Amino acid sequence: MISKNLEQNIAVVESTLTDWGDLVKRRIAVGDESRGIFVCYIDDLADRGLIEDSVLHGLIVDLRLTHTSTDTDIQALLDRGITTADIKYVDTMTEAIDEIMAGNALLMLDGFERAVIISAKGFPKRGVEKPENEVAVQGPKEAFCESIRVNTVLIRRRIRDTSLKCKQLQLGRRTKTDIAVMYLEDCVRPEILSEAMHRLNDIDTEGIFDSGYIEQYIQDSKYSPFPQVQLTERPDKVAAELTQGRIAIVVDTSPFVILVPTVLASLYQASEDYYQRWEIMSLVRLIRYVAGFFALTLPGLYLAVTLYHPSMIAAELAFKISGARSTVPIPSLAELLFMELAFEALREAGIRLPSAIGSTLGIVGGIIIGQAAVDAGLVSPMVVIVVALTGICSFAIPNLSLTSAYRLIKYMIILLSAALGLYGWCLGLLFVIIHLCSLKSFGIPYLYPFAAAHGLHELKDSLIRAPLNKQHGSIFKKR
Amino acid sequence: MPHLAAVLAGRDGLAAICLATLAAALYTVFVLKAFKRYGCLDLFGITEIVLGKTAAQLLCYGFIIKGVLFSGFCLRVLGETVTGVIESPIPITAAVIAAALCILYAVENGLEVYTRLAEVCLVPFLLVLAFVFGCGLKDGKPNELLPVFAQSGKDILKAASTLLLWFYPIQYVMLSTPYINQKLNIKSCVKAVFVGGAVIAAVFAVTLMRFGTAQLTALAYPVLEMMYSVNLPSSFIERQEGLMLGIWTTGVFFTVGSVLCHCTEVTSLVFKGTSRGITSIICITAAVITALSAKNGSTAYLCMLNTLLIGESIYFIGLPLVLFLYDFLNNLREGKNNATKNN
Repeated sequence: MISKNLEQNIAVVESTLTDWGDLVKRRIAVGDESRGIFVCYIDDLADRGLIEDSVLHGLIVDLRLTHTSTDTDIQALLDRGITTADIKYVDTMTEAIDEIMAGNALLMLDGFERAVIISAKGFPKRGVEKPENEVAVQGPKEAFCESIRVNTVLIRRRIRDTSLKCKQLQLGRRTKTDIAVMYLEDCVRPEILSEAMHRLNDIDTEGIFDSGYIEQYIQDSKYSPFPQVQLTERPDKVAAELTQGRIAIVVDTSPFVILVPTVLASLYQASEDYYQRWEIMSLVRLIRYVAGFFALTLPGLYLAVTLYHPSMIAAELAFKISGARSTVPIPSLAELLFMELAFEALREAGIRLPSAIGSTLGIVGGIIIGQAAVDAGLVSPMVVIVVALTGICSFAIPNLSLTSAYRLIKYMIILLSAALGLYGWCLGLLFVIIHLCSLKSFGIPYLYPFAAAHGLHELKDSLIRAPLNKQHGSIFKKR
Repeated sequence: MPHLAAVLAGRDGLAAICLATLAAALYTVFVLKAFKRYGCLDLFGITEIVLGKTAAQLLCYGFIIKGVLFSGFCLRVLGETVTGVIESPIPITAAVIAAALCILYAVENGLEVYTRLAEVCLVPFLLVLAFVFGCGLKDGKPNELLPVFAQSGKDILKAASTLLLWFYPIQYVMLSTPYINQKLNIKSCVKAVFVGGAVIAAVFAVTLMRFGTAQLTALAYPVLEMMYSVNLPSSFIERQEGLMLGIWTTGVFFTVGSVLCHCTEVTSLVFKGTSRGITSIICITAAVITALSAKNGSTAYLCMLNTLLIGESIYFIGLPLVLFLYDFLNNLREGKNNATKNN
C-alpha cells in the first residue's frame, strides 16, 4: 500500500529499483516547504517534455499544500494542477512500479495515500512505413509498426463504429507485454471471442516478444506445420477482416497483428484482391491456388514420373528428360534434394543480407551457379527448371507462413514419391488433405468453405472473388 | 462395377442399375422413416433395444469381422492394381501398408474428418469422371446400348437385387445418427443415392458404348482399360489411366476408410473404455493381415465380392428388415395387451 509518508514511499521505490541508472527521480518541495512531491520515470521511456510542461510546472505554481490539507483537497489541487488528460490513480506500490516500467511517470505527494500515474510514454518508435511483406500495387501503403497504440489507432482510423471494442491485457510474467484484442461487438461470434480470451488468459510464460509467440500459444494444433492464425502487417486488411467478424490481436513491440479464426482460404486472400476488378482478381486467385498446388507437389511429381513412370508422359518429353539426365552422375533423388536445399540456402541468405546484396546474390546463385552446375553436368536442366518453378510458385502465395508449411511438406511428398512413385505422390497428397480436414481454428473447420459450407454461395470469396455486392456474410460472423 | 453389371445382366445392366437405384432410394426412405422414432440411436443401439444385448453384441462382432475382411480384400485389390496398371516396381506389401497407414491417419481423426474429406474430394472426383466420360464417348458406339430389355425380367431383377448391395454405404447413415447434430435429412440421403446411381449408370453406359457387352464382361477393370486406349491429341500425358488410377485409389481409400471408420466406432462400442486410437490400429492391422494373406489379386477380388454379397445381405438388407418386423410385431402385441387390460 502507499503510505501517507512520502519518505517511506521513496524508500520503497529506491530499494525496488536499485541500480537503475536510467531512472530519473526527484523530490521537489512545494507549498509550505514541509510538504513535497516525488516524480519518477525512466529516462527516454517517458516523455520528459510532457512531464515538465503539463505536470511539474502546473503543480509547482499552483500547489498550495499545507499541513491541514486533506486527501480531497490534494485531489482537487492535482486535478487543477495537472493539465494532461491521461492520468490515473493507483493504490499500491507494485502497481506504481509496474507503471514506471511501462514508460509512465509516477507522482507521489506527501500526505496523499495514492500515487498519480501520468501517461507519458515517449519511447523512440518507428513511424508508419510501407508494408514489406504484403506489398500491393493498388491500395493503402501503410503498415503496422512496433507500437501498440499506433497500431490500434491505424485500425480505429478505418472503422468509426462504436461497436469496435478494444480489450487490453498484459501477458508475460517478466515482459508484461501489452496486448489489445479488437473486434466488432455486433459481428464477432461470442463463442469465438470467449475462446480467444480464454486462450490468451491461459498463456503463462516469462515473456512475449512478438506476435509469433502468441500465435504458437493460441493455435489449435501445436504439431501442424500449417498456420492456424493469420499474421498481417496491413491495417486495411485487419479493418476489413474485423467487419467479417474476425478478431484482431495487437501485440506491443510487434509490427504484425494476429487475425483469428483463420482458414486456408483466407491465407490465399490478399487485401489487393478487393481493390481491383473482380474478374482479374478471380483469375489471380485461381493462379495462386494452382501455384500453391505446384509449390507443394511439383518436385515430387517430377521425381515419381522420371524414376518410376517415364512411359506415362509423352515420348518426346521423356526422351528429353532422360537425355538431359544421362550425364548426371548422382541419383535423381539426391540431385533434386541438392537443388532444393541449395535454393533454400539462397532464399535464406537473400533474406539475411542487405537488400542490394540480396538481389545480387539471387542473380549469382540462381543464374550463374545454376548454369555452371548444369554445364558441369552435376545437375540436369530439368531439375533446375522444376526447382525454379516450385520456388516461383511458392512466392505466388500471399502468406509467408503458408509458404513455409508448403516448403516443409514438399520434402515429405518428395520422399514418398521417391519410395512409391505416383502412388506415393497420391498418398502424400491424401495425407496432406486428411491433415487439413482434421484442422480447426477456434472451432472453424480449416478447409471452410471447401468443406462444411452451407451452400455454393459461401464459395464466392474462395477460389474466385465474386463481385463485392454478390458476396454474402462469412462463417466468422454472428448470424 | 460396370464389369459386374455386364456379367449379371448384359447390356440390360443399365436397366438393372436404374432399378437398383430406385430400390435403394425407396429402401432408404423406408428404413430411415421406420427408425426415426429411435432418435439419435444408431443401428446397434436399436438392435439392443429390439433384440436384446447379446444379439446386439454378436451382430457387432459380425459387423467388425465383415468390415475388416472387406477392407482387407479391397486393400489387396488396390495393391495389385497399383502395381499392375502403372507398372510400379514397389512390392504389393508396401503398397498395402502405405495405403493402410494413410487410412489409419484418417480413421484416427474420426467421422467428422472423413466427411470433410469426402466433401473436399467430391468435386475433383466428379470432374475427372466427367473427363473420363468425355474420353470414352469419343470412340463410343451408342448402338451398343440397344436393344434394351433383351434379358428376361427375372434376370434383370436378379441383377438389380445384387447391384442393390453396392448401395451399402446407406447403412452408415444409420450408424452415424449419434454424431449428427441436426435432424436427419432423409431428402439428402435419397439425393445421395440418386447421385451415386447416376454415376454408376453413366460409367456403365460409357464403358458399354466403348467395349460392347462381350468385351465388358471379359474386362475386370473396364474404366482403366478405356483410359489406357484413349489418345488425347496435344497432351503431354501419354497414359491417361494413371489419372483414372489416381481417382480409383481415392475411391478405394474412401470405401475402405469409411468401412474401417465405422468398424472402429463399433469396436469402441463393444470394448468400452478402449481408446479410438487403439481400436483403429487393431482394425487396420487386421485388415492388412487379411490383405496380405490373400493368395493373389483375383482371389482377393472374389473374396471381396463374396464378403460384400453375404455381409451386406445380412447387415444392409436383413438386419433393418428383421428389426422392423420384430419391432412391428412387438408393438402389435403390446397394443393388444394394453387393449385387453383396458377392457
